[in-house]
Amino acid sequence: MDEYVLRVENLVTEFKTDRGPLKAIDGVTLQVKRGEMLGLVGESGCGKSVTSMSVMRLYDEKTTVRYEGSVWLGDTDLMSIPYKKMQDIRGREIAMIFQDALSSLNPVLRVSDQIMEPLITHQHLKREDAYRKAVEMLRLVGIPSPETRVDQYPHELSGGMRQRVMIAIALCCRPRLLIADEPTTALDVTIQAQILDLILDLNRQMHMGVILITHDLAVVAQVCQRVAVMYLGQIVEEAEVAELFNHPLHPYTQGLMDSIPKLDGDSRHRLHMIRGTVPLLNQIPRGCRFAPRCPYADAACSAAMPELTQAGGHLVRCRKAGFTDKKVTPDE
Amino acid sequence: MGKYVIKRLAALIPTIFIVSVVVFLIVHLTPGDPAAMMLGEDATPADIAALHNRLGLDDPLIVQYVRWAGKCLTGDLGYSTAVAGQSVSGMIASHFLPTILLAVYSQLITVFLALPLGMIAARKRGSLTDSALSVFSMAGISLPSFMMGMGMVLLFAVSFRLMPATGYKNPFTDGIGPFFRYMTLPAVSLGFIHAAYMMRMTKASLLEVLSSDYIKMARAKGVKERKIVFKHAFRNSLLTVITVIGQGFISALAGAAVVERLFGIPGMGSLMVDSIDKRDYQVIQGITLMIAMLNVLINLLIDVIYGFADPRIRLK
Repeated sequence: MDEYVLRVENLVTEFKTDRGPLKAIDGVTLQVKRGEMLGLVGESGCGKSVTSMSVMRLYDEKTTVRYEGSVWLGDTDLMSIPYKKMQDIRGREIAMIFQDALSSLNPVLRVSDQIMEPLITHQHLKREDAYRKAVEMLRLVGIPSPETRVDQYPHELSGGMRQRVMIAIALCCRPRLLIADEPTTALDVTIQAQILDLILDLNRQMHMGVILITHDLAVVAQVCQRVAVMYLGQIVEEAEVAELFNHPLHPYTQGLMDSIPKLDGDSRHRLHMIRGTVPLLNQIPRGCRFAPRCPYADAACSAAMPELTQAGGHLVRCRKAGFTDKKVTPDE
Repeated sequence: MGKYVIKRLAALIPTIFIVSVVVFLIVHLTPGDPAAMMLGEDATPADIAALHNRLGLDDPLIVQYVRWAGKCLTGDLGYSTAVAGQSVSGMIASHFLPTILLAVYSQLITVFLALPLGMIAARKRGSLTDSALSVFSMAGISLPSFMMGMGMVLLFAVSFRLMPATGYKNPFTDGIGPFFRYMTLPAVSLGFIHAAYMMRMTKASLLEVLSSDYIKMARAKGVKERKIVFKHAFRNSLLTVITVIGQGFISALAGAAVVERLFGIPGMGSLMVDSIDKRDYQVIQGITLMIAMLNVLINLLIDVIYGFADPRIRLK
């Protein structure tokens, strides 16, 4: 049975700026099932992080942001509950880990304090119990000699350990959903693999949904079941991992795939680039947002925004999706 | 932590050495012959030469320095050349307490005024409260302490007759009530500029901390907003604030000269001004050295407090 932990429907996040509102996210719809890992990929500035911050309602709603749409956590629409209620959701139902563990851990508080905090806030544990649980969590995330580490400060730990601590903090209340925002980007490759394994492992053990935000397609291929590709604040394609990697339908996804350097490729060939650059948020093109950079686009593409539609097991936002699937050519 | 304190203490030695050399040289390189000054205009050259000999003024500068520094270490800062028979240490000792009490009191007022207001300004950024506090702090920074002092004397002492305009009461012998009655006006006028400055710094550093990643992380954990400000943000912004408190204390000592004079408080500031009037070089030298040492000590204290507030400093 498909039990959805999170259903985001037509989420719009609009920032209030001096020069008027800017839509950083425009109608994002996505679902995460229990125990599923969903990869959310795209270039810098495509709205991956804004999506996750919006799901947690972490922006200042008085001064900086306006939301539309709904975010269903089970039967609760997070967008319609009072802002204060979000404090009970964050850390308990949805937890989040960030890219830079060094700057995301408070430098003047001990590791123990930082893990105990959500336990005391949400589960009302006594300090001694929370402390014991903190040690246990450190052991769970694979930190050696957790009894001594727990009393240390973040700067006394290595980069990989700090990331593990952050995961321990996020998971100590056993949330239904974990949002991992580029959790491995700041780490070197071996540590990266360890951290991914850990997330995958805990995802299976605790049976929670995970949204893994990354720009690294290799990471997604390793651990996710489904992938959503974002471009300029919209989801342009979504499919099962194998399906998306083998038959990318959207020209943007194809471009991303082609940009991955291949070991068996000819080193004299230049790496593939998607031509042009990501437009600024205040210069979003009319019609299909990718049209100005798309090799297949024609006048009709720029005229109207294509809807996200079902096509061969994918959800794809492209009028020409059928024609542009290079990998499924007529002679195949 | 103990190791850290010892290290900081050891680092003081060169500082103290340099300070003492500078203080020594300032007095000795000042034009004018102290012996001639002490003996007055109708002294004979022979008298002057004899006094030179007695004071050791003909010795090489280094010998004079070593002799002076050695005496300083034993607490002997020499004798006043203007008031016969008065030791400099004794004069400083009798003027020390009012200055220190004034500085501490003014800093307490500063901290209790500036920290909460700075935090409010940061939490309510862009609001009317924030703008009002901004104007208030700009005014505070722009007003020199003597203007502030005179204004307050006019208002509270002359018009409302709430507090005495001048004078000093020792809290240990005269009681704490009179002390506050006499010292509040001077302390406020001394501390106000600094309160304005500290408020701005508190606001700025708190705003910076509040936009950091670990605050975002704390919010993502579901920590209550009040706890975020007091537990997560305040301790980090405290690092900046501690520095500002230290500076405030030092500038309160230096600024005391004006305020003590204005309010007739018999502190080191008043003593300094009197001694300058009388060209009493020994006393000037002694007070300068004393204030320099206080600076050094305050900086040491700040370093130690830093160590307590920030674990990253302690362990290096």
